[in-house]
Amino acid sequence: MHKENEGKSAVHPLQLALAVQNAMGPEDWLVIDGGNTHFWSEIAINIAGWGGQQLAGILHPGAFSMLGVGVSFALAAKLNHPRQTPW
Amino acid sequence: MVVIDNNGGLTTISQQQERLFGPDRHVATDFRDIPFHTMCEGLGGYGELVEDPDEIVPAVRRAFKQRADGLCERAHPRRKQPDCRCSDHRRDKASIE
Repeated sequence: MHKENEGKSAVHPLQLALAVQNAMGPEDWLVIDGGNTHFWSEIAINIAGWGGQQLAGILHPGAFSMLGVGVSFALAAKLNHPRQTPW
Repeated sequence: MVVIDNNGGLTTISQQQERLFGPDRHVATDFRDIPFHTMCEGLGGYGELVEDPDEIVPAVRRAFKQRADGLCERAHPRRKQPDCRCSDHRRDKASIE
């Protein structure tokens, strides 16, 4: 971590994932790229789903959390479902 | 709509490195402060940096109003992920290849 960023910021990644998912709706696709964010977002999916959240679909990088899939998955979602919005 | 959880590095990889090499011993996985939101603006999109949890949803709505191409969020740097292991050997090996 860059020394200038130590101690800064106040947004927990789970909090971010939940806030974003709660703002989404049944016409939205959730696309997750790889890395730490993936794991927190998966937890948020369970929490949001338990609360009744519905989405058009979810694309995630899989068990090994492959980096870089986000853009291509989002494009694929939009190509196949042009009236829906990938996030 | 793109939301970036900016935790300042390749922390999934650095955590695996620390498991192999010891506490605070990781290499080439820390980022400097990268302004993703201005990068998005530079490419012609709308970008916004959010540092207050209460501003996340309003920022998302503003981004949609702008026909958003980007939104940047800053999470707490170096927050450890939950332990998610599927194959110990492969995960550890993958972090140093």
